[in-house]
Parts: sequence; C-alpha cells; structure tokens
Amino acid sequence: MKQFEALTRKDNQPVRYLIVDDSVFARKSLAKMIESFGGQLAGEAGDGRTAITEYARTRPDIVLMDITMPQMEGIEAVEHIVQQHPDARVVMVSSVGYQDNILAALQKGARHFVQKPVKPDALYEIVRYVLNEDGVTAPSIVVREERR
Amino acid sequence: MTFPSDEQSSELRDLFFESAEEILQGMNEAGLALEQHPSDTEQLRHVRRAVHTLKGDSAACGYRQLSELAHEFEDVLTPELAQQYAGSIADVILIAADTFHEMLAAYRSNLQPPSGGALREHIAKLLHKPTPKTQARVSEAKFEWSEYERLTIAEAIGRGESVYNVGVHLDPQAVLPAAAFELARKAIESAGKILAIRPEDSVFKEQSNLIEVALSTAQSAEWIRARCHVPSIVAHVSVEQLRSPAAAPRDLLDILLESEAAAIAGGIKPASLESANTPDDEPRDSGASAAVAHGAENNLRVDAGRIDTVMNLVGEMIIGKSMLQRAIAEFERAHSTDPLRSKFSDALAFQSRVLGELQKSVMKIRMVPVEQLFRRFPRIVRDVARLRNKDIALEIAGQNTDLDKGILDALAEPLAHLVRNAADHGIESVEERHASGKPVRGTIRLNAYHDGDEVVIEVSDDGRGLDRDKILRRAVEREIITTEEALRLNETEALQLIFAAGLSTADEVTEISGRGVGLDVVKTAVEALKGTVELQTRSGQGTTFRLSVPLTLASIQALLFRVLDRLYAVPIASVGEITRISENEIHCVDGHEVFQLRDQVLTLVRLDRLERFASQSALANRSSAKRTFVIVISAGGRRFGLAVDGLIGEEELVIKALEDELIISPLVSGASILGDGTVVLILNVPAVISHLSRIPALGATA
Repeated sequence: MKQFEALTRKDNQPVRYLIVDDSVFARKSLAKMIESFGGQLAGEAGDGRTAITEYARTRPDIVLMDITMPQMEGIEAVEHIVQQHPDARVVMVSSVGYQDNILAALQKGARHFVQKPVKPDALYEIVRYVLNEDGVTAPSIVVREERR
Repeated sequence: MTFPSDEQSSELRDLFFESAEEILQGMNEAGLALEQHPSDTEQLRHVRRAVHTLKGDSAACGYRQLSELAHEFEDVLTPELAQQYAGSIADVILIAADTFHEMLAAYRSNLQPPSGGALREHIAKLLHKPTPKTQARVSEAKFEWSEYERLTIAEAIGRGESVYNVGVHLDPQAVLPAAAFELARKAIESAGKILAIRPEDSVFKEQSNLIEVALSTAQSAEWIRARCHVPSIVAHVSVEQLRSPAAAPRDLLDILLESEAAAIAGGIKPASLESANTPDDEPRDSGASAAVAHGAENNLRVDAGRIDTVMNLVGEMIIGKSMLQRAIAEFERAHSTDPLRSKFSDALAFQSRVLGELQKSVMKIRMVPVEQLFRRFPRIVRDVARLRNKDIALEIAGQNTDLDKGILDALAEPLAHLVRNAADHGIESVEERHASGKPVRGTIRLNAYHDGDEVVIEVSDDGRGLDRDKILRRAVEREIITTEEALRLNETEALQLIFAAGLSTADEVTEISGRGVGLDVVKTAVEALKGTVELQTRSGQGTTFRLSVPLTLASIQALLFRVLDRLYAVPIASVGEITRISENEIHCVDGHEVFQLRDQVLTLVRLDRLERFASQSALANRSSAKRTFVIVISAGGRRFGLAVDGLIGEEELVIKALEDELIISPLVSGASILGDGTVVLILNVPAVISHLSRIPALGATA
C-alpha cells in the first residue's frame, strides 16, 4: 500500500482513529489505510451503539462512520456522539445512493463524507482537512504533491 | 422609441434603463394578473408589446444579448401557445422579467450579461423544442449584492472589520451535490461572519455550483482559501478583500470643530438629500422622473441633481433669513423708536412667508408617491406564498402618499424585508390557520399616511403574532440581556428586543427570509433616516410594524436648548412636553436618576454625563436648589426626561450633512448652523434611547 506523509497531532503524537462499520472487511481495509497515513487504531465498532461507548472510552481524534448498520444507524450515532462531545470529528463513509442520509448526518454534526469504495488519496485529504479545521495537526504539514 | 445606435450617449442609456425598468414592472404586473386569469389575452398582448419594445430599444442601444433573448421570447407569446400552456405562461413571464432585470443590471455596470439559459430552456419547452445543450455552466462569480447588503458590508468595513468577497466553486464532478453544497456552506460559515450570500437559500439548488459570499473575518485571504477549499468537493476558491471609500472613524470633537471652522469661514455646505454612505457609484435609477416622463407632454424630465441644487440653495436662504432676523432684533434693541423698525419687520415677514412657500414647492418636486415602492411587493408576496404553500392576500392602501425620493429609496430594502418576513414567518400555514379557525387566506396590509411632519408606513399581517416569552428566552440565551433584566422589561421593551443584533436565530432561518439579515438592519436603516420603528403584536391575531420617517431630510423643526455651554436640538416632533423640577425631586433608582411626572416615573438623562460627552462632565457643577428645565422626549414607545441648562426656543434647522461621521457618532445625528454662526448638534433620539438601556448604573461608575 502507498505510504503517505504521516499526519500528526499538534503534540506530534499519531492521530487516533475509531472505525465503525458492520463489515469486518471494510474495517480492515480502512485500518490499513489509516496505518498508511501514520495513524493509530484507537478502537473499532460494528454498530452505532457500540460506537458511542467506544468513543467515550477511547476519545479518538477521528471517527470513520458507516451509515447503514444494525442496532443503531450511523446518523443516530453521530447525533449522540456530537451531542456529548461537540468537538468530535466524524467522517461519514457510505455507499452510493445515500444522498439524503449523508445530508442528514452532516446536519447532525458530521464533518465530512467519503464514498465507498474509499480511495486512499481522497480520504487522506479529507482527514487532513478535518484535522486542520480545529488546529489539531501541526500547521506546517507539507502537501504531498509539493514534496515529490 | 429607438435611438441611433452610433449615438450611445450616457443620457440615452439612462433613458433606456429607466424605460426598461418600467417595462419590466409592467411585465411583472401582467404576469401576476395572468396567474389569476390565464385566459386574459389582453394582458398577454400587453406583455408581448412590452417585450417587443424592449427588443427594439436594447438593439438600438447595442445590447445584443438582451435584444436576442427578447426576440426569442416575443415569438413564444402567441395567444395559441398561451392557451395551450395556460398554467405555466405566467411563470415564464415572471422568470423572463427577472432574467431581463439581471441582464439590465449587468449592462448598467458594464458587465457581461448572464446568458439567460434558464429562460431559454423554458422557451424551448413551450415550443416543444429540445433544449439546446448549453455547455456546462461555468458560472463566474459576480458578487452582485443588493443595495441593502452593500450597506451592511460598508458598515462592517466602517467598524474596521476585514471583509472579503469569496467565491466557492463546487467541483462539478463531486458526488452527492447536495451534501457537497452543505459541506461547502458549513466551511464558509466557519471561516467568518457572513454578511451576504448567494444563493441565499440554505437549500441546495441543482443549477448552482457556485457559492458567493461576503465574509467578515479576522483571518487572512490565504487562510480563507484553505478553509473553504474542502477536499473532493470544492474545485476552486477566489478571495478578494473589499475596501471601503469610507473614512476612518472620527471623534465627535473633530466634527464639531470642523463644523465650527466651516461656519466661521462662511463656507456653508448644505445637507445632501441622498444618504451618501453606500459604496454605490452606479447611476441612481430615478423612477420618479420616469413616472413623470411617461405622462402627458406637459411634464419635464429633470435631472435629480438639479433639484438638489435648488433645494440646497433654499437651505442657504433659510440660514440667511435667520441671520437677518438676528440683525433686525439687534437693530430693534438699539433703535427702539426708529420708524424703520416696522418696515424691516414687515419686509422680513413677507420674505419668510415666500421662502416657506418656496421651500415647500421645491420639496414637492422631490416627492414621489409610495406606490412606486409598494408595487414591487405583490411579486414578493406571491413568490413567498408559492414557495411556502401559503394563501396570502396583499392589501395596499395609501399608495398616493408622497415621500421624499431619497427616503423612499432608502426604505425599499427594509420594507421588502418586513414584507418577506410577514409572509414567511407571520402568516401561518393553511393547515395551522384552518385549525385555529381563521380564514385560510392570510392577509398582509401595507398602508401609508401622513402624520404631521412624518410619513408613517405600516406593514401588518393577521398571522400568529410574536411570542414575547420566546423572544425573551432567546435574548437571554444569546446573552443580549440577563435573566434579571428580562424580568424587568415591559411589553414594549421586550418586543423591541427583536431589533437587537444577533437575535435572529437558526430556527427562524428559512429559504426566504433567513440569510443572516435580521430586523436590526431594518431598525438601523430607519434610524439613519431619523425615523422610528414601532411594533404591535397580539398572539394569534397578527403583528404590525409601523415605520415613521420624516417627510424630508433637508430640514427639521427643532427645539433648541443649552447644556453647559453647548447648543443642542431635538426634533420638535419628539418633544412631549417641557417641565421644571428642582434637584431634590430627582431620585435614584437602581443607580439611575429618575423623576416623577404626574403618575409616571421617567429616567432623567443628562447629556453631559452620557458616555460620549464625558470629557465635559468635570465642568458640571450645579446648585441643588436650582430648578432645572426638563424636556420630556417620547419616541418609539419610550419616554425619558432630558435635563437642560437653558431653553433657547424653536427654530427651523437646515441639516448639515456630516457624511460618514453622521453614522459614527451615534448620539448625534447631524449638525446645523445658526444665523450667527453657532453650531447646533442635533440629538439622535432613538440612539439616546437605546443607549439608555446600556448605561451602567451611576453607582457602578462612581
């Protein structure tokens, strides 16, 4: 897998991710991606309800959240998480054809969205942007294209 | 009427724009009429004639795109087609009027006109032609802010904020356009304070891939660009800082000194009738003269500037008259037995009378009926009613009431805002009205009438009324007032809170009226005209906004008084009564000075103790036994007493324009110069009232 310049927090620690998806395969492939961003897996969840407790337990920097899941849907989970932790940075991950759901999730406080199949380059840029929004990353991150 | 195309003098252009606006207004009215009676072929012929005229005129002026589009549209307007598409023809006519209007606006400011693609699609539909494939619309950011928004922007810049025009171009390739739109908007919102935005609607529209915004932020252009460049959604961001021609804020003292210096030098600069603080360099549309010009042959088309010149000269004559008055008074004292005395005073009386008539006549030239403004509103109400699925009737009365053109222009946007608000928030949905036993059709009433030296314009609706408790709750939430203050407020004061900046909230934001422009801007605009806004509401029965503005901005009848050694004036219309109290009748409540007037307790204001005048307070030293004159001032539903050291009398003041400073020194709305060269500061009564609610208790500052 292609390696990216590591995204780090301001304190130079690796960025920590919570991955929420009911498909084990999807979780694994996302985990591989964040590894290539220099990130660290803080936790995983297979449904919305677990996601809420996992968020409270692990306090990750970024949540990658699937939309359609058993137990509790992604949108509802976003709502809960953002209500309890207004600074939570949730990126929705969805399949094609969930336009309305994505919109609802954004209105509930999700920061961005990415479509399946997830392209690493797109996700990298999105994570970088979402982290930068709150000044979590060091401000002087070099854009890959310039480095090459 | 056609013009030789080689002679595009600016005068002809102006004439074209004026008549074109008239034509569009006619189209709008005909479109609305056709909506009610789709088979009215007379109206359709009227539109066709109008479009035909527009086609010819614009071709003669060399405005090719407009002419071609008008030509295409004219072809569609046949009675056969209209019958076939009775349901949609009115819509298309209204869209056409909007499109033509946009094109005219572009031409007027020498910009490339929009292509009118939407209208062409409608025309093609009517003709059963497949829509010609227009290339992917690469919209150019134009930032065509309304006069109202420009004022907001200019004010922000005036306050020292950095304002940028930001164009966010969405990536046409982006998946989920609606979500992309939402995200881009969020990013913009997080980048600063939005002063104006296009599209205004918070809801995504398929055809827009560009968001234009005027943003106030402390961040750099580079930062804005980075923040708005949302990955995988935004293709391109343009950022341009706006600069205002407005001068830096000045101190009240400077203004004063300047006016005095000017008066001493004898260079008397009369008031300008137009508010000169908008960054608005396009030619003003003078619908006033247009209305005149389309009448009988007896009418003259006169440049508004010439009338202003006459008005200004009359202003100087009024000052001259008061110089003469003083000279004669002096003469009478010195030569009390001289028979010349009565000759002088007869001549003066005659001159005053003629001068008064002259002033009135010139003022009348500038007066236009409010109908010019009111006629725009049926379209607004109709659009809102349609979008929100409401049934709303608009009743208009008093449209023949005359008002100064400059004031009318300045009221256009605030009134449109109130009407939009009434239709959008005031009137309930059909179901809600039905459920509460009201007629399903809501009514919005516009009324205008003269009241002394003022013109009153009312916007009322029979909707749900304002919720006082909700307003208070929100004001406390937004920290505009504290909980304790909320408990103390009376009905009028509580309702006035809806004019506070920052009260308009997210749950009020809708597609139509929600664009971050609150009622505070309405109030600011009206107060800049030395007017007031009052408000009455009854739960379940409706709300009335009452705007009172002076007939003219050129002069006021004022009461002059002295505080310490300064002369001030208040508009006579706001003076309730004059009384005398001794210092021991003044009491202290909550750290504010109050006194009792019959059965009412009023706050006592001492100008020399107000914040802006604080530097003079060291001089204040009054004996407690002395009786003080108090002017009781009432405005906007509030009354207070003004302690003064001496009353001078009533006089007609010609208001001197203080230009930018006029807005910047909030407690003074202008200045005037007396016959002997003394400078008088004219108190801004609404500003003093709003200041009152903010001054800290005396005990706290001492």
